[in-house]
Formats: sequence, C-alpha cells, structure tokens
Amino acid sequence: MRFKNKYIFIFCSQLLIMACKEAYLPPEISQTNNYLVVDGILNSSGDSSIIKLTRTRNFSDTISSINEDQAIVTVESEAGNKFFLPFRSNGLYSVASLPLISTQKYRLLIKTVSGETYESEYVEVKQTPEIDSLSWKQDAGVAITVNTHDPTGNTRYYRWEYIETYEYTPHYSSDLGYDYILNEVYRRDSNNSIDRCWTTQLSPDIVLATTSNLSEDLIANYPLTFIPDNSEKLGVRYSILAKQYALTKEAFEYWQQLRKNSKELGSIFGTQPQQLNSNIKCTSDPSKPVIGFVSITSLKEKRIFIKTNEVVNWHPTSSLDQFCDAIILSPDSIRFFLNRDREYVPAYYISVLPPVANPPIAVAKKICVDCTISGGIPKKPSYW
Amino acid sequence: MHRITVYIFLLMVAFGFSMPLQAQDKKTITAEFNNTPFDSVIKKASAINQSPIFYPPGKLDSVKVTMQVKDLPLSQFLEQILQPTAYHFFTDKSGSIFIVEKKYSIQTNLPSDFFETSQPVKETEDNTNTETKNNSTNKQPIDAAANKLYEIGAATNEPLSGTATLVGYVRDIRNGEGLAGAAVYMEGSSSGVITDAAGYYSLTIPKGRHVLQISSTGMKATRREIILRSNGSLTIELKEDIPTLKTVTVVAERNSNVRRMQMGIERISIKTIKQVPVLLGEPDVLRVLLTLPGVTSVGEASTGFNVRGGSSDQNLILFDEATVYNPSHVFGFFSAFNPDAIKNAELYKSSIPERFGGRLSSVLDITTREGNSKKWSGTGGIGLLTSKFTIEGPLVKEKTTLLASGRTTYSNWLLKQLPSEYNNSQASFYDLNLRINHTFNSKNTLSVTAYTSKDGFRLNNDTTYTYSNRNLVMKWKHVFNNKLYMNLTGGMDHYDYNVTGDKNSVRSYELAFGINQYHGRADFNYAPNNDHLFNFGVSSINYKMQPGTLTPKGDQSLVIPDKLNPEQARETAIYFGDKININTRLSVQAGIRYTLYQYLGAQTVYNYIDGLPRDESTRTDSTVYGAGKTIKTYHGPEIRLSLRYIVSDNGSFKWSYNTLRQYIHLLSNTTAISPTDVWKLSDPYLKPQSGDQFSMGYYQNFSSNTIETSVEVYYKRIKNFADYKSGASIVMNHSIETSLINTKGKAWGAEFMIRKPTGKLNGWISYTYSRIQLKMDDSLAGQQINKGEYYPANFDKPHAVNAIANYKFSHRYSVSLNAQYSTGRPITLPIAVFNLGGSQRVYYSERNQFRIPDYFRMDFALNIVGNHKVKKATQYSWSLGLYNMTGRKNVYSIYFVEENGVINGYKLSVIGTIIPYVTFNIKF
Repeated sequence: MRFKNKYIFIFCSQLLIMACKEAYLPPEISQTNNYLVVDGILNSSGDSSIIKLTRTRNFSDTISSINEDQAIVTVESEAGNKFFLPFRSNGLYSVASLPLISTQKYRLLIKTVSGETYESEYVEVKQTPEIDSLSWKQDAGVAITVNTHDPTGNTRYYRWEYIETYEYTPHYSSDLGYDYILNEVYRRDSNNSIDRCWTTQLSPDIVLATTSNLSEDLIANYPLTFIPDNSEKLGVRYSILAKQYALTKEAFEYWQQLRKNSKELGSIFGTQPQQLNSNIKCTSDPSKPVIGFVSITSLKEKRIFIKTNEVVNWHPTSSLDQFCDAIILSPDSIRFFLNRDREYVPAYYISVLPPVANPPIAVAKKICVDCTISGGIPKKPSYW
Repeated sequence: MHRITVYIFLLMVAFGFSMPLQAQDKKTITAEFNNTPFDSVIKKASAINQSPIFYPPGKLDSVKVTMQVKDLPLSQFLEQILQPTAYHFFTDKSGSIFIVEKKYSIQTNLPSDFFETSQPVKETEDNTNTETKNNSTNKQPIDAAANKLYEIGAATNEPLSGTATLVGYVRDIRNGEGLAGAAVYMEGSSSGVITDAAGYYSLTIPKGRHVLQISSTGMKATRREIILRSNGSLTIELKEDIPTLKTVTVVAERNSNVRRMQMGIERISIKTIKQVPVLLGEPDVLRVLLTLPGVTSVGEASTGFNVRGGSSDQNLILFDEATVYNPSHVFGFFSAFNPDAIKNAELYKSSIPERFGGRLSSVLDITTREGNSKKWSGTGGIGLLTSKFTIEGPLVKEKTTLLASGRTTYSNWLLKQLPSEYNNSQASFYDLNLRINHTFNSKNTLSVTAYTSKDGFRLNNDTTYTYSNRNLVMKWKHVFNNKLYMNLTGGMDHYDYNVTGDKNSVRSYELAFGINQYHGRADFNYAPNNDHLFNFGVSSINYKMQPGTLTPKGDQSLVIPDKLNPEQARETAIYFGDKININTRLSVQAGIRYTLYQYLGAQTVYNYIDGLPRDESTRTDSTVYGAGKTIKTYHGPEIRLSLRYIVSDNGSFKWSYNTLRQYIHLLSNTTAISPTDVWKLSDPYLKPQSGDQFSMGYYQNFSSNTIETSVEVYYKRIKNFADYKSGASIVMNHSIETSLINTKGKAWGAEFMIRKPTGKLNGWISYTYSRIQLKMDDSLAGQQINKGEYYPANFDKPHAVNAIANYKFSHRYSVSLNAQYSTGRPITLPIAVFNLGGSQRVYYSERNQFRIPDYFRMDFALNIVGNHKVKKATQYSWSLGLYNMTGRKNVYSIYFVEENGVINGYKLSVIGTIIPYVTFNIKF
C-alpha cells in the first residue's frame, strides 16, 4: 500500500502543495484508555506457563509498559479444578508446570487489585508438533523457511515467533582501550573485548500459516523471514531460533487480525482496520475491551546457524564505513586529541621499522572500533 | 376579413419587414382634419403614400381625427393619429403601410444575414411547420414565431372536436440540437410533457386553438399559438437565455420542478456545469453533482460518489446509454467526460424510471451533444494541465452531424519539476468522443456514439497503472406515428485495468482485469392520449469478465502465472410503466421491471458444507459447468411508483416508492475506489443486492416561480451488501466467496433546497441531513463487525451544506462562488498502544466510531467572455479562479506510522492550499 501513498504525494506536489502531510493526533484518542492486555500462553506440555499482564497506553505516553501487578490469576477447568499463577514481578505471573489434561477445556480468571474481574472462554488444549527443520536458500538474499508436520492432522493452525542473533565485528578490530584517568592506551583483556558483538532481535512480524485447505497437515518451506542481500546479519555468523505454537482456529484468526492491523496502520487506500475479537471478557464491566487471546498450547523451538562462508558473494556493507577513516597521531598528541574529542578512541598501532617504544597510533570514531556502540553485547551467547 | 389580417400579419413576420424610414420622410402631408372619420384620413394618406395602406376594417371606425398639419412627414402624421389608439403601423420595402395592433411589436431592422437564413413558412405534406429563424441581434428583441399562429392539420369546415397529437422536437436555435428536458405545456391547463433526451415530445390535447408554452433550463421561454386541426408536428427552436436583456418573461411554465412527475431528479445543463468554479478550471460534471443535495464523496481524490447513502458502485453511469465503469481520470481529480461534448446530465436519486435498472442508488444519465447541424464550428480550451478540442458540424446539411472531441493532459512537465525522487514519475490521460447523428427522415434517426478514455501513471520506475474505458453504442429512433415511437439501442462497453510492477526483474509482473459488456435494448414510448404515457421495453446485458490474470513480465521474472476463471452472466429485463393523469392535480406513474439474471458457465464452482462458514476448511469439492450452462438464476420484480399532487399553481406534493436489484458488485476493501478494486458478478454464493426506497417531497415556487424551494425526505433499506471478513484479499482470489459476508443497511435523510435559477444573481443553496448505517447480517460470517450492531458506513456524512452563487455583472463578466461544508467521514482510529507478542501494537476502536475533521471549501471563479459580436469568426473566454480559496487543509485521511518505535499520527490533505488557475477557451 505504500506506493499509493507515494502516488498521492505526487499529485499533491503536482498541485503545488508542499505540506500535504501534517502531524496530527485526533483529540478523541488522547482520552485515557487503559485496557487490560493479556500476553503469553498456558503451556500444555508441562513446561512453565508465563502470563504477562499490562495495560494499554495512550499515544502520548512515553513509558514503554504499564504493568498490572498483584492480580490474582487462576486457570480453571470445566470440571472446576483451579491452578494459581502467582505474581512474580513486572506484570509477570508464572508457574513451573500446569497439569492440564488434553480432553478438558480450561479458562483463565483474573482479578486485579482494583477489583476488576476478567474471564476467558473455555479453551481447548493444543499440542504443538516438533519443527522438522529450518532451512534456508540464497536467492537475492537469504530466505529462511520452516518445515513441520502433524501426522495426526490435529494442528492445522500455526504461529511462529523467531529470535535472530548475529555476530558482528566493528570496522577496526581492536584490543586497545584508553584510560582517561591515567591518560594512557592499554590493551584490553578477553573479558573486556569490544571487537566481537552479538545482537539479538525479536521478530517484529506475526508469522501464521494454516494447512486447513490441505489434505495433509504439512507445512513445507514456509517463509519465516528474509535477510536482504549483503546484510550485516550474515557478516560473520547468524543464528535464528524459531518458536512454533499450535493454535485453535479462533486464536489463529485473532493473530491474523492483529497482524493486519500492525502491518497497515492506515493509509489513503488503506484497508479497514480489523477489530480484535478477544476470548477474554471483563466481567465487572462488559463494555470494557480486553486485548489478548488465551491459548493453551506448547512451545517447540529449533535453532540453526548460517556462517558467512556458507553464502556466496556476500559483501556486507555498513553505512558507517564511510565515517571510519582513521587519524594517525603521534604518541605525544594522543592525550590532547582524545581528551578534546571523546568520540574518538584508539584503533591500532602503526608499525614502524625499526620498531620504536612509542609508535604512532591510529584513532577512529568510537562506533568504528567499539561494537557495543551499535547495540550489541560483547558476550558470546551460551549456544554459540 | 379578420382572417386576412392575420394572414397579412403572418406574411409580414415571415419576411421580417422593416421600415425604410428615409423613404418615408420624403412624403409629407399637408391637410386639415376636423372630426374626420378614420377611413377618410387613410384614403388621403394613401394617396400621398402612392402605395396601399392596410388596416383592419371596422376596428378603427370610432377614431375621428381633428388636426392641422403642414409638410408633416407621413410617418409622423400616422404616429400622431394612431398614438391614442391600440394600433401602430409599419412600412415594408415597397412602401406599403400596415396598421396593426400594438401588441404585435415590430422589427425595425433587417438582420444582416436575413437573406441567407430566412425561409418562408412552408406547409409540408404531413402538416409540418418549420419555423422561420429569428435572429437574436435585433435591437428590439422579438420572438416573431411566438406571435405567429400555427395551423396544424388540414383546414376543414367541420367544427373541431376530439383530440389530436402534436409531436416534434424542441431544438436550440444556434446549432439545431435537440433540447432534453424541455417542458411543453398548454396554457391554462395542466396538460404538458417533457422532451426526451433527443428533444422529442408528443402532446395530445383537444383540437382547437391553444397557446403552448415552452421552456428549458438556460433557454429563453417561448410560446406558440396553434390551431390544432388534426395530428401533426411542430418543431420549436429556443434561444439561449441572456438574463440581462429585459425580456418579456412568461413565467407560468417555469415551474417544471413543481409540475414534473418525478422526484429526486437533478438535471444539470452544461451551462450550469461550466459556471461552477472547479479544480484547475476544468468544468466537470461529477464535481457539479457533488454540489447537489444528497450527493457526497468520501474525499477529494476519490473516484466515486455516494448518493443518499449508497456506495459508489451503486450508481449506474450512462454515457449515451453506454455504461462507464470508471468515470474519472487520475483517480478522481477530473471526471472522464469532456464537458464540451456533454449536452446535459440527469441524476435520478429517488424515483428511477423503470427503463433503468441494475444499480441500487442512482442513475446518472449523461447525454452527449449531437453536434451543430447548421455549420461547422469548434471549441478549444487550454488549461494548466489539460487541453481539449472539439469540432462539430454537418456532414450533410440538416441531415448528418458529427461531433468529435478530445482531451489530454500534459502534466508530465510538472512531474519533472519535482525532486529527483519523483523524476521518473509519469501521469497521463486522454479521452475521445465521437458522435454521428443521421436523420433519414422525420421518422428515423440513427446515432452512433463512441467513447474511449485511458489513464496511465507510473511511479518512479516502479509500478505502472493503466485503466481504460471503451464504449460504442448505436441508437435508432423510429417514430411509428404521432403516438408511438421506439428507440433501439445496442452496443458494447469495456473497462480494464492493468498494474505492472517492474522494480525487480525477478518479480516483475503484470496484473490485468477486464469487463466486457454487450447490451441491447428496445424502448417504446406510447402516448395514446394525454392521460396516459406508456413506457415499455426489453433489455439484455451479457457480461464477460476476466477477474484477474497475473503474468510474469520479462524473461527473468519468476512470477508464477495465475489466472482466475472468466465469469459470464446475462441480465435480461422487461419493463412496463404508465404515467396516468388522473385529474388536473393528481398524476401517478406506475411501473414494473422484472429482471432475470443467469450466472453462466464455463465455470468451476466450489462446494462447501452447508450451514458452516465458508472457508478452505469447509470446502468439500467442486462442480464444473460447461460453457453457456446456467449455474445460478436470480430473478425478481422491481416496483417503481410515484405520485404527484399539485396543491396550488406553485406547489406540489410528490411521493415515490422504488425497489431495485443489483447483480454486479465492486469489491473494494478501501474507503475510496482504488485502482485494484475488482467488479464481481453475482454467483451462487454472492447474492444480488436489493434495496427499496420510500421518499416524499414538497415543492413550492415563490415570486412568480423565480425562486424554487423543495424538501425531500427518504428512507432506504439495502440487503445483501457485500462486505469482507478480516484479512480478506480481493486481488487474485480464487475463492472470493470465502472472504465475503452479507450486510444490510438502512439510510435515511432529508434534503432542503432553495434555488434561484435565473436572473443576474442565480444559484442554489442546499442542506442535506443523511445517514447510512450498516449491520452484519450473515450467520455464516464468523467474526462480527461491531458485535453485529449497526455502524455508520464509510461515507456516512450527516450534515452537508452546499451553496453556489453566480453573479453576472454584464454579458462579459460574471463571477461564481461555490461553498461546501460537510461533516467529516467516519473512520476507525487506534485508541491505545500495547505490547503483545514481542512488539508494540495499536488497538483500534470499533468500526467507524470516530470522524475526520469537517470538510469546508470555498471556490471562486471569474469568467470573462470576449466581445459579443455574433459575426466574429472566433469567440474566446477566460476563466480565472481560486480553488479552495480559504486554503483550508481538508483532511482526507488520518493514519498512523510507527517511526523509531513511536507511533505517530498524521493527517493527510489532498489539496492543502489555495490553487489558482486560468483556462482559456476558444470557439470558432
């Protein structure tokens, strides 16, 4: 839909209108709407179940999350058996294991501190099949796909989340550091290195698929994500962890609506936003909407790695490269230069022949030397 | 004797006598009269004059002359003696003097082109009277034809009894084109008719002497005195109304809004269209429509219009009987119809004549001009972005006319001025019109209209959109006799669009959609007498649709070709209607239309489990139907009823009830018509839309009918309006039935209008209150919109005020002001932000719970016409104006974008500033 926006812009411009688009917040939406948001799953496979309760925020709010703490969260079976999910912290409620029976249906009950009560519909217990494999293919970028199947044919509706982690190096791989107190260059030890970083990103997308129209409950090479050509993600090594959930049809539709609303926030020829039909109701005030969909399912994960030498013709380019010219300084001017401009850090020594005690030093912008500046952490993940 | 006087008078008018004053002045009279009888005075005068003096015998017997004159010019003498009487005189070329009653005014100058154009009265075999031409340059304007007595039918000595039928055309004197919608009324009675699109009328009235009053919007009203002896014909030519001239206005017939049978009908003449200030100076029929009560659009750049709460696909747009699927250029900035080719446009909002059908809301019937039948002429216009040209004239004089017009844009140069980001963008369109009219004889006329329009634009070497309309229609009008005539129409309509994406050679694609429609119809009009007017006929439309073809573009493209099955259907209708005059006050129009719709093979239809929501999971198998096999039939009657009651001379009450059915649907997931919307035929799953409307109105004219007022209220119900499930995809969907749901709707409203149609200051002001609400009405829908409650439709705009004022300073200068206000359209807004599934998301309100800011716009135009010398070879006019003169940034859309983790709201205005324009038009 984006190109259509462009089109309108063109005609606006054509009509000699420079300011067609203006920031605008309709007054109606600044009113306080703090609805309960229920995130997470009830785990059907005996693993831990984590539910996060938050409140919706206004557009103008700067805080990233309003947690709903100290509520009473209960799972109740049709037969009336109850299990509690005790409050932990930051809106999180969890229990190590829920003894759920697949022939029963369960619902979630919530009572907040302020006395509001919520209940979900009774939800059937779904079991997620294993991910058979994650595969990838290079074709003007790298497409990562997922394969799974359910021989019983009961799953049919799937949702995936994925977490991408990749290793990267700064423009200059350096073990040098600068101590502003002692005013001297030092060599970093391996615990303090800044030349290898790992960045982890949560999937922004909601990936959904159904086999309801297929004779077999089989997902083959379903696209999970796509790494654009020459992306930095594949500069050294890349890993993706896929999380698979089996859904009920209703839950699938809920996520589909959510995906649609997230993709297109509204545009000229934009489609109608979809209403989210939650399976949770506020029983103390039925007019109050609730966000989130209670699913009882299990989580199946799979991780793969891709190394840069496994792809061909991959030339990671960073927009930073052009800023990364080094400045060579004589040893005696380092102190003055680095103190004056803290954006620069030492990158490497210049070797001279014959070797001298205090060789000249090349300095570069911090972002070209220190990989943590671009957001990664210099600690190798446990699975790496 | 009386008869002879009349005859003399006719001759005089026919030859357009003038008075050679100079010659007259040489003749002087010297005499003394003392109570001398008039006869004797005239004898004396005629002796001096040396030519006869004609006067009505007996009429002036009572006049006695007492005066003494010496060398007084004869003309002055006559003036003096006739001054106290009801008579005056004039002189012809030979010097003969005619004394007539003063009520017959006299032409004093011979028109300069008198001898080329004037023709004597001719009595043809079938009693046809053709009027003499009357030139508008006369210093003393006179409608000589108006004062002439027309004898229709053979004179007999038998007393005139019973009725006879008078038929003919009402034409524009300038170019001989028929005037549609002109009123022909018999003075002193309610008998009257309105001409059809070709200007044809048929009026059955008692034999004898009558005065007919003829009027038409923008034309000077006139009258005809007739003696109707038997069936015959009379062609009436009207002159353009120039309001600043002080003319004798015959007001009785102007109240056609009161007298007209139908209600909820808006007739717009091209003159009105050209007066209203418009975007970039391009007169536009669709934009003028939007100033009328009950007509709205979702926004500035939207293709469609909404009539009384109907969606934009519920309007049947007919261009000389050809269906135009996409009536606009560049998505609504311009309408697709060249104003120079249009004669008039009629919009039926409530009582839709039974001969129309197939759409729920309205019928926009655009009639093109036949072309000048008298001489070749042309018009041209140059604007900032578009130019147009029209040529018209007689191929065979008074027999065959041709009108060809074209329009194109050259906006690309402007696009080039944009930042380099948009340098490669292109936008272009053109439209071409051709109409040929041939009159075989007074009973047979054939017309052919061809129309084509094409739009294309391309964004930055990325995606190219093209769409085009092509229509060809042929119409044969045959008059069987004075009471019965027939229109036989046949043609084909075509619409297609094409989207080409070639950003990436691997993913280059071409997406195509097309409709072909072949139609034929026979319409009969039978007027046995003045109390009945029967309309009946049959029509058939064959649809052939290609719902979508996706093909790879270029050798490298990896796009998998895909093609949706073509669809076929046939819609057949028969209709019958009668307009009955029950008495002078009460008339009823009752009609019925029966439509039969067949969805035809070859087609593969998927089957689903009964009683479950249709989706992939409930699909069982499919049935293959052979070519031409009927897959599904829908049929049903449509009722068209209207009633008019004349309360007083200036007021009437109207009532109407209509039911309509629609078998073709525009599937649009968006608020406005967008380039990739598809039309879909009713099939076994997608039921035809149906609706009914009840409306009532009161019409009152004031100040001798110079001010017209009206109030109309309506209530409307809509069934089986197609809406979508969540996440529905419309393009290239092989089983679209799984995405559609049925909704029902209700619309109600009131329309108030005050119009001053003529005078130096003319225009209208209207207020409309209208609501349209929809409700999901589908047990198989699954997800319910707004919990299954009524919600406002996207185009629900409760309050709308429109005002148009034109003021003529002189013949050459006029100004127009156009103001529009309406409530903002409903939108669904995100009302909260939340985190779910690892990302920040927004929560939307229930559908259409909020509104964008109200819309207001005011436009101004100054029209300057070159001097009014009629004989000048070319005439030009300038149009200067300001569009959106208050510079208000009317909001088209509000949208939200996630930028760096923060959700920001934006409002988008399509027109965000004052747009000045200038257009130059030339006529030759």
